[in-house]
Amino acid sequence: MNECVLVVDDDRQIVNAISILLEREGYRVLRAYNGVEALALAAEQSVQLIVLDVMMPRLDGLSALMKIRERRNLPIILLSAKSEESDKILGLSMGADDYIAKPYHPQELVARVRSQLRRYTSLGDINAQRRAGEIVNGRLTYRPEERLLLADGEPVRLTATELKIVDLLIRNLGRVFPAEEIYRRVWEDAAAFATENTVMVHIRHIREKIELNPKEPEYVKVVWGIGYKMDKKKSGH
Amino acid sequence: MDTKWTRKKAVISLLAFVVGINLTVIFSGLAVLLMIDVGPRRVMDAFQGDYQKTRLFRTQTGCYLEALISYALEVDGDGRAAEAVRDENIRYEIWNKGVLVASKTSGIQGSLENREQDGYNFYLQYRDGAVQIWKDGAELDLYGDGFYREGWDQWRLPGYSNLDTGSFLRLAYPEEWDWSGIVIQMAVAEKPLDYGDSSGMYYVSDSMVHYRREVYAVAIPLLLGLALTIWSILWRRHLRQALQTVGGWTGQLWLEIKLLLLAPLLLMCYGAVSAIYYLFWYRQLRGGPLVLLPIAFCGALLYCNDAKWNWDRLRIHSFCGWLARQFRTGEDKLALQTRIRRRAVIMVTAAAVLAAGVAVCDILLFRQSWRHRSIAGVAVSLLMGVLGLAIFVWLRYFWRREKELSEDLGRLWKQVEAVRSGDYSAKAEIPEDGDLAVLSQALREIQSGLENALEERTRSERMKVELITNVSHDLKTPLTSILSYADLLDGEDLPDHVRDYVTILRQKAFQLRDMVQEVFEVSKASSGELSLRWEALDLAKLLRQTLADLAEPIAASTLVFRPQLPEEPVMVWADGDRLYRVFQNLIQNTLQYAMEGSRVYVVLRVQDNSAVVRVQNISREELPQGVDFTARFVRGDASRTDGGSGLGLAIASSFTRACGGAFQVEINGDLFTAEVVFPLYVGPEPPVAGMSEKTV
Repeated sequence: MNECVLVVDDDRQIVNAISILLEREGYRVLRAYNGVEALALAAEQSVQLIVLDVMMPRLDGLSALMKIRERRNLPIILLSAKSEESDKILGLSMGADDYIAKPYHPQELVARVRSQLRRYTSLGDINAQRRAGEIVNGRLTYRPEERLLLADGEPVRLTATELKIVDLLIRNLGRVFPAEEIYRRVWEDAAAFATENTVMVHIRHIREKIELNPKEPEYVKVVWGIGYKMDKKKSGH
Repeated sequence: MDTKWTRKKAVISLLAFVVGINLTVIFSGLAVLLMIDVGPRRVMDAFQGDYQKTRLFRTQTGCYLEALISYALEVDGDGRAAEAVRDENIRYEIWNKGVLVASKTSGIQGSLENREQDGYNFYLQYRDGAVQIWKDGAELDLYGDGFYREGWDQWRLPGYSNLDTGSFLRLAYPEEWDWSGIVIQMAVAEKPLDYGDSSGMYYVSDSMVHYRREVYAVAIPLLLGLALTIWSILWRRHLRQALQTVGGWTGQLWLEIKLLLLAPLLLMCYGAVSAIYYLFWYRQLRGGPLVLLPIAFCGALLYCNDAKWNWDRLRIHSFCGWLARQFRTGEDKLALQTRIRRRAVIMVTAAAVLAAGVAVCDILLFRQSWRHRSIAGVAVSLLMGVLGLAIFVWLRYFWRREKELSEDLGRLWKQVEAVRSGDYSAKAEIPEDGDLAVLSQALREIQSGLENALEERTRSERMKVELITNVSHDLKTPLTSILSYADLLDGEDLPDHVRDYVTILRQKAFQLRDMVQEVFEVSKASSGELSLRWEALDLAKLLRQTLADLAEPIAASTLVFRPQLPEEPVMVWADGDRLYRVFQNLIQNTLQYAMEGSRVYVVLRVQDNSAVVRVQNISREELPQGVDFTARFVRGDASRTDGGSGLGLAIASSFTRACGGAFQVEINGDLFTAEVVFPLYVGPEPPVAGMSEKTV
């Protein structure tokens, strides 16, 4: 019943550490130390998720990723010491579902694995149950009439104000809102003293509730010197 | 009120000076003339109360006696001598050997022996070759020591031991004459009357009045002049002020005008000098009116005064200077070649005008010579014509060369400008034989050297970044293991002190991770490899957002933040994420190093088309002077035991520069000021405002 995760890295200690971490969370873990091994294991075993290092001997992570993608559509999380935005974009554009920079934060890694698995395993249900008026953005699903926000299918406990802000941002994905406008539309009041602070506090709270790593948010973002926005994410596999 | 009086004083002193000096000079000259012409004796006599006490009277009396004796001796056969004594103010009787020879005694009571006649107070008697004189009833002492000296103030009468009647009459052979029997009685009126006679005793008394008047006419203006001069000297402070004011007025005149006016002034000076010359030499006012003298004096005074006050500005304040300044204004705004050409135009024009003038003269010379059949003249004029033509040809050549040179210079200048703006391949199109071809070639060589150096630098910079990228990547892999196992260890059931060790391990590992990341970023930013997303953003809003973002650590600290941010947008063109990192680092820097409980000022101001952000705080530790805080791994204290990576300010600095701003740290005692300056963005309005209207 337990989901099986394949961990691939040329550094045995890292594979070991990740395995222990994931096993503690109750996942079954398969280990591979290069791309060729990873391909073999992925073909043989029933694997639900792959944590894949990019820089490996024999077959590097990106090539392995493409090869696996040819046959299977399972979530793949890239792991790389390259932390630059361009590397991340390259990995994601080649079909990875997520990207974690080394040295990763163990809890974040676990959270991302869990998030991906949840979405992967319950995807069919979510799609089947997709209701009218529902807004899906990556990990997030928003049901306006229920006033409910789901992250990886689980309801997020938001206060009324936070929900209003999320409502505003998720309905206008990619649009940047100045703090004054958010304040006017959410509090339904003219922008007052320390608007920026008030809005920022709520944004931070929302991030803590919905982001996997609130320090490097993926959804609710500050556009410095302009305002706030929610990024549009691809919503499925 | 007071200043008005001071001004009046100045005017008065100036007038007194000018008038006084003029009067003194002119009338002292006249006084000298008077003394020379009239003599001091006669001038003094003019002020005698009694005309009979004057020298002129004595001379006149002597003359009359001479005439009367001559008459008696019949030396004067035609009676001309007696004619001379027709003066009605004189009465006389001439006796020779007891016989009355001649007399004029109308209005006389009896004989002239009676010496108390009405209206006559002066009696003279010649007897036995000597003279006796009674004046107002008293006899005068005539002879003194009895010796006559020419030029002394004596009566010239016969009776001296060295002046007998013969020598008195200037007779050639005195022994032929006998004057022993001659007796002459003479009386002179107390107050001579005018009988229409131009000479005589009336003239003596009248000339006194005349001379007196002349002396007054000279002395009064002279004294007045002296008094005025002394007055002006006493008020010399005011005089100086007045002269300075006048100097200020004359200083406004162009030098050329002054020089032009100098000619008539010199003419007037010449007139004045010639007037004085004629006056002294010929006693005539023929040389020119004396009025020229004060005018010339005033002119000279004006010039001297002008020279005194305006000597330094004399050359500058001239029409030529003005012209030159007009020419030079705005010259620095012109291109180099235009400037050179302008100067050449002036030079060539001046030369051409000069040459044209010479040509006209030459043509006239030629015509005259031709008419007068002067071969030499024709030859000289022809030669001059040829020479002039040669000069014209040379001028044309000079002008062309100058034009080419200026154009080449302009091209060279453009090349230099291009190099300055970073275009190392720029080339000036200068002909091979041009004066500047070598220079341009040299510049080309410098350019290629620069280009090579720049390439070299770029390459080494890129290698450095690659090196750091690789190193940071290699560091990250072991770090991942350390972090992972530390985390695993943390999850184990451990004794408390071991758990503490693990916590420290984890903290330091995270810190190491941050440092590796920061080193990577700084080196990328300083080598210009940082990818930037440019957009127009509101710096004030960015600062508010940054402060809001860091609200929790700020609230946790003891510091008091005093932001001073304008309400209106301050737009700059930059990468918002990088700029956020700049201010995040600055604020974290203050959180880490500012003195507990002190205030931190975050100020944004707009100055001269720039947005200036200052983050100011008091340092907890003493700040070392002369340290570049923006250098990598530099901290206020050298011990490096705190949690900072030492890269905060380096990141702030390199990110600011990458975004096109200027970053500067200023240490003043314990006051630490970081200054970030960005040029204001002047473009279309930020798109945010337009969008908010669309969605409402």
